[in-house]
Amino acid sequence: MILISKRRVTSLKIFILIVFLIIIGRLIHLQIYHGKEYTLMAESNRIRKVKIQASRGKILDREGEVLADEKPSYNLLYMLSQNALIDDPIIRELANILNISEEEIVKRIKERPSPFLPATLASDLPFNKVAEISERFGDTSALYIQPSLVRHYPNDEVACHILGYIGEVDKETLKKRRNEGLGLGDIVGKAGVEYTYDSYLRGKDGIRFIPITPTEKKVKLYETPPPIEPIPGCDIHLTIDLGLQRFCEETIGDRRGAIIVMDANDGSIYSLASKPTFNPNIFSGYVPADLWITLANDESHPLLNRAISASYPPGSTFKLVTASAALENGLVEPDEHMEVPCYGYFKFGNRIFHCWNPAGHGALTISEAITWSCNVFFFQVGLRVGIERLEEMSKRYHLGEKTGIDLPGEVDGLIPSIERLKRKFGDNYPKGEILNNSIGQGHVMVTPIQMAVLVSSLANGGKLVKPHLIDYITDPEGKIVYMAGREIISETGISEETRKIILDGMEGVLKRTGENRHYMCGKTGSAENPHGKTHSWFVSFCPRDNPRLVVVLLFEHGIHGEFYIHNVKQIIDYCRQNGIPDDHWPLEKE
Amino acid sequence: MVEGRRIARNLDFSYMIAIAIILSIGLLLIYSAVGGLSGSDSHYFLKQTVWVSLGIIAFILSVGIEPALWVKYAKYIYIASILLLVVIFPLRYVGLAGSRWIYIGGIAIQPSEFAKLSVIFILTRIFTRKRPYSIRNLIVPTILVLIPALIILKQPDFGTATIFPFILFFMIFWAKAPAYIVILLITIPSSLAFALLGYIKFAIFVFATFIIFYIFTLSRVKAFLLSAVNLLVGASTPFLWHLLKDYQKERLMTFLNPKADPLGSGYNVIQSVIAVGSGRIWGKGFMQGSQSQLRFLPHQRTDFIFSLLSEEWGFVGAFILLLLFYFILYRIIIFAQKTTVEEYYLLIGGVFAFISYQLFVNVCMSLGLLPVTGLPLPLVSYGGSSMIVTMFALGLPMSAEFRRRWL
Repeated sequence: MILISKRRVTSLKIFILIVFLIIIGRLIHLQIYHGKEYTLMAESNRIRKVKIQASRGKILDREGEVLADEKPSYNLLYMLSQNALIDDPIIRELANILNISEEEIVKRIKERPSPFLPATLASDLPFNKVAEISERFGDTSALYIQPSLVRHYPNDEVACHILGYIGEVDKETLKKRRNEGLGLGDIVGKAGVEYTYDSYLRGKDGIRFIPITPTEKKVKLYETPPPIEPIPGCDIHLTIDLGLQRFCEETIGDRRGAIIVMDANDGSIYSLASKPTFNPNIFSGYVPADLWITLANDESHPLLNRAISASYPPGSTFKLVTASAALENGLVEPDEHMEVPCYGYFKFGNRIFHCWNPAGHGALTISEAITWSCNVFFFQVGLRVGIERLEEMSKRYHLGEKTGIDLPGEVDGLIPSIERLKRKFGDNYPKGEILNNSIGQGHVMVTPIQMAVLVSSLANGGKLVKPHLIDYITDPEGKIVYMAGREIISETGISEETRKIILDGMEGVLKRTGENRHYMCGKTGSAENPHGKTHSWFVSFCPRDNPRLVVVLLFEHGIHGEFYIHNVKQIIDYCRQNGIPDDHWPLEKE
Repeated sequence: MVEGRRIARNLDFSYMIAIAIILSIGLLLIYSAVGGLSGSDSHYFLKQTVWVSLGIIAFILSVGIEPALWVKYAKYIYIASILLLVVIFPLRYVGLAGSRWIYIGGIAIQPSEFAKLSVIFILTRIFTRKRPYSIRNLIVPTILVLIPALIILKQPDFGTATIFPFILFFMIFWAKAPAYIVILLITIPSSLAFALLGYIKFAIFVFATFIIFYIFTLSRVKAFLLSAVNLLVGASTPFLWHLLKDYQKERLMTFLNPKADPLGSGYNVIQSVIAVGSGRIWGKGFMQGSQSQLRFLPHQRTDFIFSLLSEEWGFVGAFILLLLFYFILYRIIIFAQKTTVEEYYLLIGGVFAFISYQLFVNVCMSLGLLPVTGLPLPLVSYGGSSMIVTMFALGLPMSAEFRRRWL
């Protein structure tokens, strides 16, 4: 038979053998080498892991009033691993119910990171939509209504800067806190104590295993593992008093500014008000894309916590530092008058520096000069002290450095510095700078919380207490897992004599301006502001002999600080009436 | 009695037993794919038992009838099958045909399946009379093969269309055509593939084939001719690409990179590979495959039935089925080797090309080794026309062997 080619038949036999071997090899590769991986993939194909959100810990005030808790909400998930198509009747009907376009739904399904992960089609659904969807699509495994929780702040704006807000974790945080089990799309605290104590507040999410089928056909269901229950987060108890916080915020009113009420001995903060405020609820649940733009463009900066994250020139309140430097270095005697009495101005070289009172204060002692806040007196004190000693005293009072309060976003401020002057101007730096610095102008910037810490040391005899908002933390069973105590940043080492002279001057401020029913010591300040009207300060504590509260008030673009003393008195009235920090207030002095 | 015993003695039982086992495996797999008798698709299982029965009848007929008869009437069979293919297009308008099927009395027949047989018959007839030993002798067979292929491509059914050129090529090779013709025919599809990969790779390919071919044939004329064909094919590639439907282009691109769109066009391949891989050595058990039973695996009673087998019966099951197919293909080669009739020899070659091509393309597609083309797995996939035609075709080699032993 001439047609048959032996060689071709043999080569064909070899060829099909090779093809079969390739197929067998591929089977070995898939089923034996990678069998385990594909088994896992087949498992994740038929089971969707859906997060059972752990409830985030509550935030409570010192009386147990709720400042932040959780509200139930519902998300809608798409469970299948295929992409949905625009013409799919489910998608069409869903688009109608959710009021979004079919394209948008398909896009949300397509953009999930893995086909084995559910895609979130809608979050924080209103209840009527939930009912409608479950009625229409109850028997398809394509959709799943996921019960969830949304952060809720029942007092809306009140204490917003303390509480902060929450949001989806960003990539950087994710990298930093990888070992805490944070995952993509998790909710974390973004500001305030929500941020600081996030690790305590966060619970551990559980997992529910949901069997799914890719079609609507009824098919037999396989066993699924039991759910992993979530572990709720810890509750945070703050030292804040909600009533006082509200009172302080109302005191600021429509102005921009901050009021701090702090325990003079242990640094517990009873109120830390900053205005204007925002409503932290807007960050919970679905956050519209333009929200950030709106907030960023708001020139009143409602997100800014003015008590800790903004620094201001301290103005006359800085005279407490200048006086301390002079007395501690023995540069001014307690009963000494300055060479030049105050005629309302002071001549330095060929420049004229004004006192705030054009009529002048005449001849004063240092304590009287604090009471009257005489600039001319302090210009001369400043010349004796010099920038180096003023810088050293600022550091002893812990100015120019963060206090370490348990809130994110605190700023350092700025203190007088000879080095910075020399760096900027060389050896011929303007000698008049010390005159400005001695009355808290020029290159001096402080935050209200720094002033509160400074005043606390004058009140309690030299201890700079670390301010804190946290009181204690309890786990879900109610057991205390963390307890805050008094922490001292450092001691100023100011002598008792110096302190007495300064307190005399501060008490004089209250005597000068009216009745001193709370036995208060205070210092006003009006800081010149290159951008507009002056900033008004009033820093104080009371009572003088048994100090309990430190109150610091700062209003941007206000009138002179003196005019807000009555506001501070009202705040202290409120504290006395409501037993803050406790009911053991001494009897009124007058 | 004596006659019956003589018939039985001359039948190749091992070949028939292998086919019977594969048919039984196929029925079990379809039973599983439709979810048993209580499943909503259980009628497919019942229908398949009917198709298997009809297939067995077709096999018996094929063994019983002298194969040369088909070659003798190949012209008429060919014309009839082409008419059947063409008639789909007008019938669609009156609702008597789908894209690939003609509906007659509640059953759907697939003319493209019958066209495969008719092409084998006509090529056998032509090559026994005019051997494919020159380019000129190839012109008529090529045209005759391209007619059904292009009609089927138009249906559109890319996978089925590709089998026709393959049968042609294989039968040319089988008919002991000169090496240069075989090489030429191998380079044409290769040249198409390289042209799709880009200009530089295509240029390297053309140059390399020229050198290799020149070394083999030592004929500059033939080498230049080959390069000219390569260049022609390369130049027409963009045009051919344009002819493909969007989904066909997508499938080709998906084959090149299935993970690019795992939820879209790559979904089928990925699910199939997961099904196969998760079957592991022993499989998940009869009707226990989650990929199949939960319908993650698409087209599981037709195109992806091999994946279903691999998932539920594991490596062992897949290996056994492949072994049975290997045995059948090997027997077919042996039958061809033994036959002394030229027509039988060519006919068997055509049947071999038909069965092996569908088997390899289908299995390789299930394993992610070839693009998804939608060719059925012979004897196993659901489908009446395919079953009858396959069984009939498998009967032809045995018929030839039977007749040889009889003499």
